[in-house]
Amino acid sequence: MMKFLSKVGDYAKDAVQAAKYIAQGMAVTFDHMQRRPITVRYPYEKLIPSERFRGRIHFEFDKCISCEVCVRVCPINLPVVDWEYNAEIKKKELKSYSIDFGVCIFCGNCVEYCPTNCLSMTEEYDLSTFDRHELNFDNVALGRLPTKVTDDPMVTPLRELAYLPKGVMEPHAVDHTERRAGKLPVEIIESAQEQSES
Amino acid sequence: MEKIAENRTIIQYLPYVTRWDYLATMFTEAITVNAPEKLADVPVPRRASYIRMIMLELSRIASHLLWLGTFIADIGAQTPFFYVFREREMIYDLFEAATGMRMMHNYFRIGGVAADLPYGWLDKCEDYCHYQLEKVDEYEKLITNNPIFRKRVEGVGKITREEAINWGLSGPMLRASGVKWDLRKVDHYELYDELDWELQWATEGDCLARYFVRVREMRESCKMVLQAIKQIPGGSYENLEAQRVLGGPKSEWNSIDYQFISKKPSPTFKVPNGEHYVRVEAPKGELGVYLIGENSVFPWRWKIRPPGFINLQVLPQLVRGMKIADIMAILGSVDIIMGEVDR
Repeated sequence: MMKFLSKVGDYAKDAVQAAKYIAQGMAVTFDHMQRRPITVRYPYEKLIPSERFRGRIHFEFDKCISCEVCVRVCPINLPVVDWEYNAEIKKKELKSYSIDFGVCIFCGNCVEYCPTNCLSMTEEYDLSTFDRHELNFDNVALGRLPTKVTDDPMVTPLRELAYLPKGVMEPHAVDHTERRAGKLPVEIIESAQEQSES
Repeated sequence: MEKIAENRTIIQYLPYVTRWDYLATMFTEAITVNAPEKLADVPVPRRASYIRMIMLELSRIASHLLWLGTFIADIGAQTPFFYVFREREMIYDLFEAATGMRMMHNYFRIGGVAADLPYGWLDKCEDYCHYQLEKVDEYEKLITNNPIFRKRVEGVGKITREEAINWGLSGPMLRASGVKWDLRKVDHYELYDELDWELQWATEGDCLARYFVRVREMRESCKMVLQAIKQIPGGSYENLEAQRVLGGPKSEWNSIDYQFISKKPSPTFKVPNGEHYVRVEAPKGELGVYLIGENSVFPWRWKIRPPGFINLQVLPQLVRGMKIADIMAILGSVDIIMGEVDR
């Protein structure tokens, strides 16, 4: 009889403990009722891609010297550089240049190693098409610039964490024009000079 | 992946490696540059090493966070999954600002990193670490003492100290079985010795112990990042630039220790003659590369030792005599990524 009673006692104790810990956990869950949602409602709100964001590649035809470094550093030798040697000016003449963005992985090696900076990364990331051949951009398509998120009146631009002011953890809390964390080097120089003067 | 490496230069191969372990991407890049770096004796500036450490530890937090989410989701609790994604997103925002992409960074280079940190990045990184420390407490409150969770993981998937060593396990799997083995302490790579941190371990060897080791490692990593932010030579990039302007062309701030890369690797960087094995402590365990070079632009052999693959081998023994439902808990606690198991 005592054994049974102690069993009941243990069981009740366990149940109370379990209820306590579950309540503790639920407190965390219910605490979220007073927090703002962190999701971005995509077509209406968009994140501003970071400054170093590696989106579709932009190409300037006139700057290119057809050196083909972009082809050599590309993991799959993707850029197609079509050039012809012009004996009169003793230079390579670029005829056409194309990158197939259906195959490109946007690693940015070509941009990093391009000696004349004729390649650059844009912030364009929505490249979907109905036909994959449309993703093969020639030098004309590569020269187009994407629209900016901040210029679109239909869209509320939001910044990513690294561009928010100090202490702000989510983009909804502040306007995107508010100053981001960190000083400018100019300001650090000014304050250092003021200190040395005084 | 190993065969692809044999006809790519290191620079060409770097964008590939983030696909081995796509949740701890910085570690795969670190080992890919460390291997030829050590073989060719390329120096790494102290600042670059600090940037690397910050990135690696953030990546470790991201990996453990996602592990936590999926592990708990496997056991049956969906809520923490969304919480960890919220925090992981912040790490990826930081990565995107510094490297240009959220997961496929292509940031590490032979002799340093691809670019210095953006303006204000260290400030936000510090913000994040304080925030994350708070959040880890919150997860613990939610999960650790939950009776259902405890019943599912306590004493399940036990592995003893000897077994763990004999199976060649590494990382939290090994540390949860009572072996104090962390390559950051053992190999002294990068500048981990300059940070004050403790190795996290447990002795029970069951799923719960592995959970504890990983959660504590998250806290430890946050603290390491905070220390690295304070100690980084030159401080934030904006400060470094200002000091360079103030100091003029011959200032000490232009010396090698304050650079983010020692020398930009040329597209024809040659892997020198010789062979060696290099390893780092990835969140899942020991990630190593056995590299054989023959003084050509391509490595002759590039053997990857992925932690996930070797940790997975112990699974048949762990599940013997267990219930079907326990398989999810055990497999979850092993923390495998199929990308590196079948690399």
